[in-house]
Amino acid sequence: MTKYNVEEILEGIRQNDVEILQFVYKAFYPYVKYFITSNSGDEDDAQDIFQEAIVIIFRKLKNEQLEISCTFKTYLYSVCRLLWLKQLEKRKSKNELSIDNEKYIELSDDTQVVSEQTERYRLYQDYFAKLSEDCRKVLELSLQKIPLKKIAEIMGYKSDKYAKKRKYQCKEKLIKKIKSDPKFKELM
Amino acid sequence: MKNWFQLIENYIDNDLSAEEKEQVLNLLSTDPKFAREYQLHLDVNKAILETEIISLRRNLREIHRNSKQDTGTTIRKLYQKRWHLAAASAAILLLIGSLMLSDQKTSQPTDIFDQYYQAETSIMIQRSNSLNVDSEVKTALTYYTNAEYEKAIEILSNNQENVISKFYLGLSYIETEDYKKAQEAFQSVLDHNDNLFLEQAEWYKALCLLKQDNISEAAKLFTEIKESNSLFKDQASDILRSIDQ
Repeated sequence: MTKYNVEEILEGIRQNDVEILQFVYKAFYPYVKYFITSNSGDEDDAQDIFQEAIVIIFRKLKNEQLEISCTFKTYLYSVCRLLWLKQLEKRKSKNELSIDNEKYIELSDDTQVVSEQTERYRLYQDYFAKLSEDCRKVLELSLQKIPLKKIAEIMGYKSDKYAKKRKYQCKEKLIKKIKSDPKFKELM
Repeated sequence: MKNWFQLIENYIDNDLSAEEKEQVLNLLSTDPKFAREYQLHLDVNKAILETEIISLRRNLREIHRNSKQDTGTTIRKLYQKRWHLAAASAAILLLIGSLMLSDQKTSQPTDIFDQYYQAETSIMIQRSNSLNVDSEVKTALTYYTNAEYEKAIEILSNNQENVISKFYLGLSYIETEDYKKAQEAFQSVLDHNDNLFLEQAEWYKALCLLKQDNISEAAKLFTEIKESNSLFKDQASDILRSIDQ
C-alpha cells in the first residue's frame, strides 16, 4: 500500500480523491473501530463517526481552519474521540472510556462548531436525498439561480408559474420532514 | 397575507413588495422564532448545494461497503460502484448497475466498452404524468424501456427539441450498435449545453469513440472527464490506465 504524508492526505481529502480516501480508511479506520467498539459502540457507530470526522476535516480544510502539528492519525483519532464522547453523552451512557490507548490532542473550539454544523447539514441532506427526483432537481436548479422559465423547460413543466409552485411545494415538504425528525430539536 | 413560509421563501428569492420586505426585516429583528425559521431555510439551501460533501460521503460509504465485502483487489472494488446520478445532475433517475470487471483484465477498446457500458433505466415512464413531457416522447421512452429501440429512435429522431429526447436517442443508438449516430446524439446534448445531462453525455460519447476504435479522441475526452469533477472521473481514470497498457 502506498503511503502518503499529512499534506498529501489533506490534499486528497480536499479533492475527494478516492485513492487517498481508501488509504486513509485502510490505514486508520481499524484504530477508530477498535476505540468505538471497545467503548460501548458497534461497527455502524464506528463507520458513522469515521465518516463524520472526515467530513469535519474536509470542512475545516475548505474554511482554511486546519493546521495540523501532529500526525494525521493523532488528529483523526482526536476528532473521532471528541465525536464519540459527545455521542455517549447524548445516549446518556457513561462517558468514561474503557479503552483510550491512542495519542490525542485537545482540539480548537471551532471543531465543535464545525461538528455541529456537519450534524445539522447531514440531517438536511439526508432528507433532501429522500425527496422525489423531480423535487430534488427543481430545488437544485432554483438554488443554482436558473431562471424559472428555463427550469420549466428542463423539467417539462407547463409554465414558469408551475415551476415556482413546484419549488415551493418541494421546499415545504423538505422543511416539514426535517422538522418532524426527533433529531431536529436536539440539534437546534 | 403571506404566511411565514411564503414570506421567507419570497424574501430569499427577492420576490416581495416593499411593504412585505419591511415586514420580514421587522420580524427578523423582533421575533427570534422567525429569525430561527429564516436561518433554517438558508441553511437547508446551503446544505443542498454542498455537492462536494454529498459526494465525499458517498465515496466513504462505498469504500466502507467494498472493504466489508472484501472481494479482492482494490481495482475490482473501484468498479463495483453503483452511482446514483439523479441526486447530482438529472431530472430522471439514472441508475447504472454495478459494473463488474471480469477477473481477466483486458485492454481491448471494445471489451472496455462492454465492461463499462450498462443500459440506462428510464423511470420517467412511471412518473411521466407529473413531468408533462411531450406525449410522443413519453411513448418513445416506453419503447426504450421495453427494449424496442428502433421504435424509440423513430420517434426521438423527430423530436429533438429537448435534451431528454437527444439523450435517450443516443442511448437507443448504442443499443442498436450504431455508435457513430449515438456519438452524434451525445454531441448534440453537449452542444445544447444544458447542465442536466452534460456529464452523462460526455461519458457515453467517450465510450462510443472507444467502441469505434478512435482511441486518441476517446483518450482525450476521458482525460477531460478525469480532470473534471464528473461523477465518472474515477472510471475515466481507470479506462485511461487500461488503454495505456
